[in-house]
Amino acid sequence: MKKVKLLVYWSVASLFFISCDPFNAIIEEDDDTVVLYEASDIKMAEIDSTLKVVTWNIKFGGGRIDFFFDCHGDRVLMSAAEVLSNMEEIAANIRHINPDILYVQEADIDAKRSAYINQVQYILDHSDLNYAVYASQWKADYVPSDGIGQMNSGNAILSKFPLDNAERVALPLIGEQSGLVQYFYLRRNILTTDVIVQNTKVALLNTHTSAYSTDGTKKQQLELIEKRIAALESNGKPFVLGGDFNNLPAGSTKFCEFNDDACVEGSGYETLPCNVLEEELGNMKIYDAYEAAIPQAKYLLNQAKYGSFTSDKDGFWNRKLDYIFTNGSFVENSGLVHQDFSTGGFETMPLSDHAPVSVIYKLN
Amino acid sequence: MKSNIFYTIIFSLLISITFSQELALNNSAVAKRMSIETAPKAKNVYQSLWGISAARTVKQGRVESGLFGPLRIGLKNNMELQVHPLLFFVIPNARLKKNWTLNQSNKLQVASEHGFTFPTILLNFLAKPGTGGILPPTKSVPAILTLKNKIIVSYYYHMDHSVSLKGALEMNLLQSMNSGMEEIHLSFVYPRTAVYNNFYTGEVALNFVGVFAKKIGYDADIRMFLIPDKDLTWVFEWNPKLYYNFSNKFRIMAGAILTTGNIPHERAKFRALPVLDLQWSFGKKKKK
Repeated sequence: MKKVKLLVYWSVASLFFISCDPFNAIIEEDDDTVVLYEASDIKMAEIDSTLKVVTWNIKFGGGRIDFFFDCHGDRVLMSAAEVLSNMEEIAANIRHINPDILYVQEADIDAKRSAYINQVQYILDHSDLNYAVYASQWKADYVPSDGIGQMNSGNAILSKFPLDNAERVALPLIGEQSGLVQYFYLRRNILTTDVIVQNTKVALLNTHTSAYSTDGTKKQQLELIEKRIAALESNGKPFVLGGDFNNLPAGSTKFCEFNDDACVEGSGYETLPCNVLEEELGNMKIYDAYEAAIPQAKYLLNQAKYGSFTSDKDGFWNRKLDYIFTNGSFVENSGLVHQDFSTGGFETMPLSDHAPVSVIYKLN
Repeated sequence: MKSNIFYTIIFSLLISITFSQELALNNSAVAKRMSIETAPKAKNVYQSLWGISAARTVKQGRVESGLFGPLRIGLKNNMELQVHPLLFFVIPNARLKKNWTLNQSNKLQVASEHGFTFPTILLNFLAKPGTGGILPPTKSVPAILTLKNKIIVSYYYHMDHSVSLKGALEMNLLQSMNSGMEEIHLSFVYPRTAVYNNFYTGEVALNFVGVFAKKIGYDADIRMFLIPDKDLTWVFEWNPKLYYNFSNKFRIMAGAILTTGNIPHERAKFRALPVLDLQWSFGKKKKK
């Protein structure tokens, strides 16, 4: 009888301590930090001596709906019809650009705000891309803020060719946040994988770094990315790094007070003071060490031409946040920011708050 | 709309009152027919005094309150009033439990519970921007009034142990299911809030209550929620709890809720949530 009692006490005590991560928000403890996807129909891919690489932050299929976080509106959730309509346009542009490799940021796969539509699978099934790897950046069974609810959003690498060795490398969390906020907040990462084309193994890296931090987290994230690609470089492995760095190139004429800043003080989403932003954002050392889709010199000559972000649907791209780098080489002058019909042959302003950036990578 | 409300009220009242009255009136006959023996007095005096989830009610004059649990007030005629005092101002609620068994020593006892909830104030409070915004601030929550009727049939098979079968039906009196209110797809929350988006939800439970030792008691519910949404959702919950009765004035409770089901968009196949409560009693002293 004593043993039975002990067993009962132990069972209840164990149950009591079961849930240390009750909302499953700690991605690093997941069994599968990287999820693999395949298109419903695998399409034949033509093999060339180049790869067209594109990076695009698709704003979770939100198009130009004014959400609460950019302070142009108050929307939180979308209907399935809205998401599907936006995704249809995004997929149409992807088909138009026809990338071999696509880096996507802010792709939702199972989030209430985007009506639980798996956007990675949607792109695979509505483009010539066949394979994808996905790593969550923001995941929680329920985010108790602004009515966001269930969330699973992150980075994905999509490819016409099979992918291998996928890994999610966690970037430092913003240390100045309270434990509770940090628990439910975004967990930035580098998603890496390999693609083998024409007997050349290329490491693909997709990232989306923090927008702002005042405690040096952003700098640490960039240092970790630099360290990661430096290791690949020293091993003689070619890589293509792309993503939304939330960072402006050194020498930019403006780092703050952009004309689309709508968040007022006290909104919780207001931008940081100019001096903090200049220090935080003007930190793109990667530019000096590797070849860029849009070389820095070219950018500095005509900054407006390479803007890839604006939160104002009625404005125009006013800052460059999206990049592609390599330790190999890109076809000269192949880098392009798809700002509008005249540059990329497609109106991209209605599709996301970021414009796609593309470049042609030379194999061998 | 008005006729629906009227029918809902009439229907639920008829079910609860008629069934309960019948049970009470026929109680002695039922007892005879089933050869019910008289239940011996519980040996654990502390446990027997505390309010439990079986058919017995808190004794008249005794008042109990938990840090998270409801305030229970023992009334005359084997009735018990339950309210969440702190939550009352944001979620007006009350439940009345009545033990219909005429002979309180019967092994078989029957009670019914009838309560209402008006969660609109709380839900509107939680529909806000920023931290704590459980619901989007873009929509205001409509007026919601629910009525819950429950039947509890307990069998005291041992002086310190009972098993109960419970059945409950919760109804949405103001028909807020047509308002397009956002659902909360979490296993602990969904079955308790699904009635706001449906006309009714059902619940059946098997409950075990008793004592292990002089001061240690248990209360375990195995519960199933049935929700008539488009997926015909069912949620299965196991809620084991242990009590340590310091006296008949104070006790602590620790346990867990383990849940599984086919809740729409719920990722986890299985969830566990620890539960803890401190409970006090402010009962009147018996006159000698």
